Amino acid sequence: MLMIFQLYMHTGRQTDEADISQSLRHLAEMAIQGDRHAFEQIMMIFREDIFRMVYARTQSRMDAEDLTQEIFIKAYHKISSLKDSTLLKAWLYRIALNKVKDIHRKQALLSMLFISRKNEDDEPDIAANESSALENIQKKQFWNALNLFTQKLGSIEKEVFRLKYIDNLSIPEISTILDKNESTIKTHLYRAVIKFQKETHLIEMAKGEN
Amino acid sequence: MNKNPHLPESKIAMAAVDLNMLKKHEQEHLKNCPDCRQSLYSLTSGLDSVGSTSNKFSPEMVTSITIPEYAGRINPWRIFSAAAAGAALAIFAFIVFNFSYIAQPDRPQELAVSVEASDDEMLIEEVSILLENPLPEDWSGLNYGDELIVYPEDLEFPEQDTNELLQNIM
Repeated sequence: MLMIFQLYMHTGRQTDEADISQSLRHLAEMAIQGDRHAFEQIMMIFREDIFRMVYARTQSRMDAEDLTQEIFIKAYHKISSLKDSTLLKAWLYRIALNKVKDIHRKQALLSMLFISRKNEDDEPDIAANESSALENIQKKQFWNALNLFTQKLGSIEKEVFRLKYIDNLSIPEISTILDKNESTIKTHLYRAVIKFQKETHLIEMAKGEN
Repeated sequence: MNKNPHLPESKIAMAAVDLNMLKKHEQEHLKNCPDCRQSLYSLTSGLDSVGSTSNKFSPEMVTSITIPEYAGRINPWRIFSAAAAGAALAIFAFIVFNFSYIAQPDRPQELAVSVEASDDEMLIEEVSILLENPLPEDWSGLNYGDELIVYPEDLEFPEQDTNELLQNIM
């Protein structure tokens, strides 16, 4: 079964999506019944997506790795409470979002107490050659531009925008994760896209990388 | 040639989110107008590029995730709460049992009867000791009231000649 997903991951969306969702549902049902092996397969499928999702919000590789670990351990503990196996992906993302919120709260508290944390991603890579140094600069510029843009959005607009265009989730999935109806999600997304249209620098930078 | 004015940016943004958010005639216009289609394509490709670039600029996860062997099966908090519940139940049962036992209306009488019985037993025991070890005959009948206690200063010894006594001993 894992091979179907690996094929899906490496060849894009060539494999029939109905088969994928059917297999995923089957895995989720087995994991709900306490099958550890099934859960490990689920973890293999989603770990990179969840890691990227967390990284996009924390901008710290170490925090993202720790949080991804915590997210899956929590999911393993709580999977028996998942009622509908079709909602597995949305359920995992909801756990991830809550974990990210927790770490932002902790960081806010630490900054209030004047305890600053050094971000290891700001550290220059000693072994980096010229091309990777250039890439590091581009990377930093891109994330800065993206962060500047998202700061202009309201809290729900920001979350909806990230879930849709950075995490590549569908509107029904976002609706489940944020527990809001689809028309509300579309409204917030529309407002965010209106603001995005004016971000010519970010758009050019993103297009230049592709 | 399309005589309608082009769709404003807000409508293009709406179409980027969901084409069905546009009205019928706007959808029709979008279908027929290459400029508006180009604007929509430019916006959606920009949005897609942000997603793909953020993926490209995200590092890969290096560490592997390990789920604890018995995670979810043995939860220390569950063990503690079960033990606490058991202890609370035991204390409750103890209190209820004692309260119901003490609160029985016949209970004081029972206690009084048992105390009385033990007093009688002690008295019988004392009497049997006295019977086995009686006082000298001369001392019989020396008592004060109901008590069998005899104090030395209260004893009256029969007068006897010392010489006669010594002869008897010899």
